[in-house]
Amino acid sequence: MPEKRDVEINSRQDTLKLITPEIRPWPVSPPPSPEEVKKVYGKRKAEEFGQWLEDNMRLEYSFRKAESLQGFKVLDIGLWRLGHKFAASLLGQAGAEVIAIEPPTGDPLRQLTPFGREEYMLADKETGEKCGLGFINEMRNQHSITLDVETEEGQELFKKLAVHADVVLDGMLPGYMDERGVGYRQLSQINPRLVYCSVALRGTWGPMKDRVSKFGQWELDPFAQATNSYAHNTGFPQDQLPRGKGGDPTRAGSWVADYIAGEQAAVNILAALYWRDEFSGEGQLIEVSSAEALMDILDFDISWYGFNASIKARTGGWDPNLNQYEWNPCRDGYMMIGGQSDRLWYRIGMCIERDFPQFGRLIHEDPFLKEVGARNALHALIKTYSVTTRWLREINRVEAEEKLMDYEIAAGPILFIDETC
Amino acid sequence: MAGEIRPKSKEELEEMKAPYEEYCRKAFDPGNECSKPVSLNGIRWLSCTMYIFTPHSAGNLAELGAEVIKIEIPRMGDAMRHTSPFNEAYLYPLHDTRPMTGTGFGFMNANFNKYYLSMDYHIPEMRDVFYNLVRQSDGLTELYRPGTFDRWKMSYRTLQEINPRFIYVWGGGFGYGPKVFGGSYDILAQAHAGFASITGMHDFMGGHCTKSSNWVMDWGSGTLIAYGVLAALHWRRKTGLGTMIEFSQVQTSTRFTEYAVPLYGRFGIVRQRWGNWDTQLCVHGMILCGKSDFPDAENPQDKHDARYVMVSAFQDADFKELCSVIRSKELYEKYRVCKDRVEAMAQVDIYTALEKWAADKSRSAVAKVLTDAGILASPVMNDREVYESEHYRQRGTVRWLDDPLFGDVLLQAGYSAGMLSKTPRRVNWIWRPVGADNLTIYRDLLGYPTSKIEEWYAKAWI
Amino acid sequence: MYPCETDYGTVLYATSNNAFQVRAPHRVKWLGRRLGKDNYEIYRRWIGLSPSKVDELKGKGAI
Repeated sequence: MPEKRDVEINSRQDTLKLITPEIRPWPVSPPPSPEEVKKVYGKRKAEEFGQWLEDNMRLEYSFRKAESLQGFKVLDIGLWRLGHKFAASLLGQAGAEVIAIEPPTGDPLRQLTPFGREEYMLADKETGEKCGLGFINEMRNQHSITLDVETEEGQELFKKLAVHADVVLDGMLPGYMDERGVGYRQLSQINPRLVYCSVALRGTWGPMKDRVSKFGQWELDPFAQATNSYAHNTGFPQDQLPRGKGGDPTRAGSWVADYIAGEQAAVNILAALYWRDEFSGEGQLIEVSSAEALMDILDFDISWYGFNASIKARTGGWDPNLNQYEWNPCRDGYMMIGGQSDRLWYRIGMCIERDFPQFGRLIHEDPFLKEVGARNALHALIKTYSVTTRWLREINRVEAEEKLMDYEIAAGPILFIDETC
Repeated sequence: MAGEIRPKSKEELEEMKAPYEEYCRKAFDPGNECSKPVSLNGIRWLSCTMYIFTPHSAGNLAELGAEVIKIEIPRMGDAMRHTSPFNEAYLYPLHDTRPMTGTGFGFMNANFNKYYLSMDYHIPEMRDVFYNLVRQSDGLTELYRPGTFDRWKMSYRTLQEINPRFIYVWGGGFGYGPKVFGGSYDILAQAHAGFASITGMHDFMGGHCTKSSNWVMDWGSGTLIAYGVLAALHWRRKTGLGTMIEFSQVQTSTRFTEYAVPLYGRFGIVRQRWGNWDTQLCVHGMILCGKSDFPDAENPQDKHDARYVMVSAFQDADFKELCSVIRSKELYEKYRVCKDRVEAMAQVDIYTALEKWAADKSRSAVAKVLTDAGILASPVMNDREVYESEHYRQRGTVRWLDDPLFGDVLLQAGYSAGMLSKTPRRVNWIWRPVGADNLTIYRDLLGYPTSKIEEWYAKAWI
Repeated sequence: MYPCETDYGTVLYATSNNAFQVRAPHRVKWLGRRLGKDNYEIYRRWIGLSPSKVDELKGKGAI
């Protein structure tokens, strides 16, 4: 660890000279040593099993082992979005040969950088060409080539490449590839074994299929979150924060719908390849959209509307299905506590009671709160969490975590990226 | 020649000439999934799982046609069966000994098409039964604390001796490392690994770290397990060997933070929340409008919250048009260049101007004016609107299912995880009561006599 | 979180969840590539284009 220094920051200019790896060296918390982990297994009397895992699983050994998708060839073409990129990176990480195809001008994602700050872009060692961090992070195990499918020669090249491919990932606009003679319809004629997967925002067909603005701008992720009810259902309600000041529908910090679509695309692709190789020898057309893939995992929200016409409301850091299962403010941040079964529920209480004896009287002795299911009622959540927060407000995250860990409760503070890394 | 395409028949010629939209509609043919084969034909998967994360991994396989046997605790079942939003949505019964207890909607969507077996596998007498299942299966997902299955002689160390083709997944919270025994939930992964720290309004907007409405890290991780399993299946086709995957859930939360990790690693900058705006594009965010679309509705979600519009005009031409729609020439002059608009203070400026313009308008009016001007805008939809949306209905991703046990159930999942033209996913049933398939599996698959099964049942071993 | 040496210097990244496996773990071999870095290599290996042909197509704007 470098020594601590006093730094004076009056403007952003002052911070620029602080942006160097020497100031914040990696790793902040290094990966654990085998000895350290051994002790942990020892405590649980699973030392021998721990040793077996140690001998077989360490990340450092992965390059001595086989790759599961070795030999599969993937073409990935698309702009702007993370869905097809994430799918390609998953396939690449499992050992497939992935070729990312960009137009000669490059994917505009390369230019994106937080708040437009060029100083956070990285330069290629050879050419000095700058690239945004997000793009570098998603571009895992992928080769980069350029090809313009607008030109006739480009289309010919694409077809020639597709002859060799097992998978084509299409992250372009609806029908774009098809219009240029390089969509599934045409490619499947020259390569019937091809699995072709479109990764769209809301779909390549249907009344609300992906749109472009009059000026050619694409629809990108938070649109998926906004049109499948994710954004409406996420965030703090009016009862907790005023509208316009935090009490609003909220999008996820990242383009999470794209990630979800990407992983489902990869799953569907591998399933289609399995069917091809095991049974039929035929490829097929697949379509995954960000809005629908996220809707697929939106708990039961829309099914609930079908059950009794409930429209899910926002519940902030609380979960309407479980008690306790939430985060609430504590002295220096937020503390998450989880444990619904009777065993955990009473254990949480015993922990809190040590500092705050009223908890037992108010919560454990409330006859309404004795039944697991009943505890999920809204007023039960309000009561439980109000009293829990009364305890939390006097302690900070580390204290709360230690106390709860003593009782083996799955609890943890909200950590920021520097605390996670 | 590689590039040449010649249709072989008249039908094929017509198919080639149809508009793309029509072609897709026909290729995916929503509603007729069951007339096509399944992808994972013949795969049998065991699932010793609970909650959402690990069940969803097996659920994905079951939707793709694998035969998934879910093994639950006798009588009680998966803890998720006792979970329901505000304790109000249940389907009955849970088990034949508990007709007054239902299965809550929390169990929905992760458990389609599974077979329901009950077994108390830590009873030594049941272990052989379990081994017999392993001999006939392709793999297993489990979520117990590390070492638990090993103590019961059911870990990969033992099972690979019985069945070398076996693929074994341990789905845990933290995975390898000092926290390996720490339990995990979706909410813990969101909180502990970065996702929550970038979701929600920034301090200056008055907000807090915000939990995703859904158990996004459970579901997302479950799908990633399914991906790992399928990759392992492909590798097994080549080598005949299984593998064991040790899967850590919290990593998903870190992986889903875009540039946050490399940004921190290189520059020591900690990514923060940025509310409903975007850190890399502007205009690309959700704005508040003055009036609700349904001021007279009964449901408060319609009445009070139908007020938000997602607006996107980050390219120069779009932004210029947007400024002309809201009649603010100064705004355009000030932020002509894309790069200037994305700056933090510029974003505050721009979104404030947009919300000021929308302050006397309803959500649908704002969306319409912008869309008519050729700009991308869309109302922020609630569950009712998604249900009523023609788009999802036509695509078959929101549809009613006539469940064999429970009757009409509205589906939002299964079909929405992706369409496959030749081997589509499908939902045959949402779930069955605890142990509903005991007889089929213990008697027909494993060959135990009914008397034995009844004996186990009486002892509550199954 | 692990560091990876890339064309852009050392980059910290979140590992794949499927990275811990007995037999065939998933892994990150590299992160990021500059635009068109593998043009010569891939066009040669996949469809047999010579470097001069690639340059010619590049000149025409197809690559």
